Amino acid sequence: MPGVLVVEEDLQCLAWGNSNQQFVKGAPIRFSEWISSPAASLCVPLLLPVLIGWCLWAGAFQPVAAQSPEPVIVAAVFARTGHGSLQSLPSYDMVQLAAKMVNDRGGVLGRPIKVLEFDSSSTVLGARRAAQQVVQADVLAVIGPSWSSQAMVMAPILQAAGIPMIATTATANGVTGLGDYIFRVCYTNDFQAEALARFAWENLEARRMAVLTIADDIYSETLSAEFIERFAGRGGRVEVQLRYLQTSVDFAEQLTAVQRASPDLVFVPGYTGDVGLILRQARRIGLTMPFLGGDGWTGIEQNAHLGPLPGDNYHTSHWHPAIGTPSSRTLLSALGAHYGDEALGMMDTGNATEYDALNLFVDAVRRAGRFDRAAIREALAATRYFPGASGTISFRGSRDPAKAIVVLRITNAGAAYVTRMEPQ
Amino acid sequence: MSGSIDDRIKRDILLTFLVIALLFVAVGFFMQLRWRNDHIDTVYQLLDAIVSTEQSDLANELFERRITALRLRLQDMVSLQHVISISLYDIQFRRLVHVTQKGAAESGRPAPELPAADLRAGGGYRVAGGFDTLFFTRQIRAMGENMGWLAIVYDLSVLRGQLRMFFIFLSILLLVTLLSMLTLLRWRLRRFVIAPLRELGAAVSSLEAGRLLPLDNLEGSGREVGGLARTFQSMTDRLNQSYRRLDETNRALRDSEQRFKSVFDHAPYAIVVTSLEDGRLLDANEVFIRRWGISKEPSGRLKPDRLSMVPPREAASIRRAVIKEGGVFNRDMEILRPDGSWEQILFSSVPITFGSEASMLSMTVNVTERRRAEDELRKSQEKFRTLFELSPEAILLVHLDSEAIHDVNKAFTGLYGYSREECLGRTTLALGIYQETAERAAIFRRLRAGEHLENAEVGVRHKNGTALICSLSSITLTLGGESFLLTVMRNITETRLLQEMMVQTEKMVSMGGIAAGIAHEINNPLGIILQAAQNLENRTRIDFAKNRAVAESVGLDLAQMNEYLRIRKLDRFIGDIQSAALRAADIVRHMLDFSRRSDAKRGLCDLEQLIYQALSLARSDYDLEKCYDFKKIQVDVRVAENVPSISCIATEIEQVFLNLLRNAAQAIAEAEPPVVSPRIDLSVTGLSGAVRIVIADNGPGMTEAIRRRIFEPFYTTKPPGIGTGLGLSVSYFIITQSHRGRMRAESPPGGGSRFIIELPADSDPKGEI
Repeated sequence: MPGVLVVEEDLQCLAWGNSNQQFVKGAPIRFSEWISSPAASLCVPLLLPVLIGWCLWAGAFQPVAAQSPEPVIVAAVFARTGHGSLQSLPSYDMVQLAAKMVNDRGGVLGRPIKVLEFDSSSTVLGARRAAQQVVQADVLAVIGPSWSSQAMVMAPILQAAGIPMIATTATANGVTGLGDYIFRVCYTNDFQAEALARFAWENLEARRMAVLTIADDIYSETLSAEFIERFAGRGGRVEVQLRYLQTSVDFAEQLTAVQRASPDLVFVPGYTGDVGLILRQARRIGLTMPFLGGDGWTGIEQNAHLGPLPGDNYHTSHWHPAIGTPSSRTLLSALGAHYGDEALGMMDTGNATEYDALNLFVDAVRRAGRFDRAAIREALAATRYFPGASGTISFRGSRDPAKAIVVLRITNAGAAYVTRMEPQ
Repeated sequence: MSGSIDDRIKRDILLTFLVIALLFVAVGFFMQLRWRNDHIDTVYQLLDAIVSTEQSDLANELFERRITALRLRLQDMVSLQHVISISLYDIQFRRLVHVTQKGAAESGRPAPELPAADLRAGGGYRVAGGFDTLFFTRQIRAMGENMGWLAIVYDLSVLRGQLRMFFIFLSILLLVTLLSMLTLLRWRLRRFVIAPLRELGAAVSSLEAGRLLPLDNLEGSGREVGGLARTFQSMTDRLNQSYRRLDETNRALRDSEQRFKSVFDHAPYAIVVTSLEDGRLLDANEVFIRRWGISKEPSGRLKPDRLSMVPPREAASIRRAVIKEGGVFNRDMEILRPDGSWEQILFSSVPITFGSEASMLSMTVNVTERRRAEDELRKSQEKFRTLFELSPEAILLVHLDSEAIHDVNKAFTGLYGYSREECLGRTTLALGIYQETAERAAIFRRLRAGEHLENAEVGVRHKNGTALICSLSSITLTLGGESFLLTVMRNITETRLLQEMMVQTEKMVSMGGIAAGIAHEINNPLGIILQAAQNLENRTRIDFAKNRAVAESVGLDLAQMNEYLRIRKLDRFIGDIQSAALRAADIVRHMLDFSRRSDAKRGLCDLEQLIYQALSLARSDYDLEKCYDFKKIQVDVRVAENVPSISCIATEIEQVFLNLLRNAAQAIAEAEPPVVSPRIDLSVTGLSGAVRIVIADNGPGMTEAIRRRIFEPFYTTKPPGIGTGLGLSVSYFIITQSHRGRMRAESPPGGGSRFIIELPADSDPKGEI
């Protein structure tokens, strides 16, 4: 049942709740904190008449601007149509929710945020077209996409246009390397591969592997390669690696080969649609070994048409409601306030990244102090310890955050939290 | 004719089958062509559909250059049956991926290479190697952008095999069908047609030889030939019967022709047959021949063969009518006889076909005598009609049963004032002609009883209400099988008046004779009475010296005696004696007027002057004034301009006027209720040779009974002692006897009385009226 929280480990061990909030220099100080400081008690009587006078003067010349500030335009590029739309639709809602929360608190630098939604049609060509439309729309920044392949296409276009792009779950290594305007709020595949290899080796104690890779898919190929390298590094052996098409529906050929190899574990760095079919067909032909996947599996338990997925199936993800950080709780309460009891049914464990991406952008604007893309890019690049719901984000020159990884197990009741692995 | 039916049918069957086979092959060929094209088109559609479903993924993978993914995808696609190989090219036509079906590679047939021309052509398909291979090419597009090309080589050799098999099957089918049908038909033909026909031929030959071969053994040879044999037999029988009937019909025809010929020849009317084309005489009956002096040759030819009975134009008109209207019937015509006389005929003609020639059969009836008789009858009818119409007597024709008026003549309408149209169809009762309906009923009763009426006097009434007296004669007669009453009425109103007048005159004349004698005899005693009464009065007067002297002598006091006389009213008695005697004398004087003949006093009179004198006398008449105030009566005198002068005795005429005025005034005065505006109209008008004087009043008038007796002497309606009853009679006497005029009294229904006097004019002072 989607949305039911299953916590298998004590979360007290996690250091997230104790971590102090640290702000980089120049970041805006909260007004409520500042007003209660001793400095404020001196400044207010002196500055108040000046401030009132300035307001009247400015109001005399710009009465309209003062009454209805122009919104800040932000683009959200996800898949509204195509094979990935089912998984991608909540992403828009998360961005809108985050924007609403910001606007409810007075917007950013006095201006509300307006989110324009663009559709990648679940394809790279669609993503390219969306990037072109974004450039034409003259937005301040782009939130998304969630697929690495689409990010690879959009990045050069947005880089050329000087529009900061904050990808959400595009974990392929090369994404942010395409330009200094390209950021992401998720971990990268090499870190994910390391975590997966470790989890396979240590937690699942697998020694012989079979790997099923989506042919030529940048996410799947890079994650497979990194995983094989790290698993082999630990002494494990990859018995067979097979490739398939993401749009295929019959995986008999690949699974028969897996059956012949009879590995301890099968690693499938695919996406919800194809993985769901693979899992069902594998169990049907009698493969009983655990299956392991990357964050591409996120939300697989919510694909009602796939039905319950039997056997031991694990995958990495970005967030889980069981994470008890203040930011995560804020997100949970916001979700509850906005969507009610069914809030967790509206999203999956990857959608916290969209929420974080918009909040990171807002944080960057505030730190930049003006609505200038270059300044915002600078502010983004200088992000340190941003308290995202999916984890703390810090960019140290690479524009790739080093974040904790959540490992989940698919059960009949939903995605159960297994463990969380910090970057080393 | 050459060759047997068998051979010819065999030949025909072969030919037919050959044509059918050719048709089959041709149709099969075209069907195959169509089928092949449809198949290829279907293959193309299939391939196109497959590529369409994969296009989006192919485009994306091409864009990302995901060669492995593309190879996997093409391998999926190439597994489709009959697909030999699939190749993928980039937009510069460089081949990126090429996959071949495993089976195709194993069969040793290398995948045909795609010529670049196929790609550059923009897509579509091409069949090569004689239906062996289909080359399918298509652009891979996405987002309106060309990403590359896909080429599929499709194996069509199966189609070729199918075509070959179809034609082999078709040929074998045709051959087998041909052989079976040929065998079957030949057998059937021999068994059911040729053999029975031969038998039938033999039978016909036998018929020619005069005998009929039994055809029973043909019964098993099929319905048609068996039927033919039966038909043949029945035909022979019917032929024999037909011949017999034909003979009988011919005989009957000859008899009929003989009869009609006899009728034609001996018809009592002239009948002729002429050519419609040129009017030639083709045949004529004996009457015609005789009447027109034609001779008929033994060959039937007539001489002359033409006649000109009617003018050519009329002949042409008759021919046209016969042709267009189907005949001429009972046309009245006048024709010229050979002897030059004209003859009235009734001409009828109808078109017939005489032999083979379009002709007209004409019949003429000589109606000359009939026309003459009709003419005379018509004249007679006109004569009688004229007599009826112009008869001075009113003639009335009434239907006896319905009593409705059938006809009236002009005199009737003149007499009663009704128009002919008003009378026709109505009864005399409805018209109100008879004054007394009982009288009318009695007349009808008598006539229905078969009696004739002659000069019955009946009272009738004009439309305007004027009463008339008619002498009625009526008889019953039968016209067209129905009974009618023919009634002749003569107006005898005037006659009756004249008769009355004559009676009156006779009375007057006798009165005159008597009066003269009586007057003479009575005048003497009257003179004595008057004189004695005068003497009694004179000799008792006191102022007379003689009386006083005699009274003194006898010692009588005259005064006392006068007193005595007065007291005892003796003086009055004497006065009464005197007045009575004077009255008697007056009567006698009037009576003497009846006998007077005083022509010597006759002279020209001014009637107007006489009228005014009479008026003056009337107004000053003491008696009149005493009882009736004449001055209250408005008197209107009108004298016409052209009144002829008359010769009369002025005093007498004046007396007549005075009598009439007095009478009128008395009538007005006695009227009950009183007349509101009393008036008397006097008018004098000139007639031809006479003068009419009318004196009319608006008094109460008089009844018919009084009117009839009004001129009688001593007849009076006044109380005794008021009038002598001689005024009007004397007046009448003066007018009629002294002046030979006429006088009559009328009392119109509206009231009042009219006295009409007509005096002869001066030019004919003694003329008879």
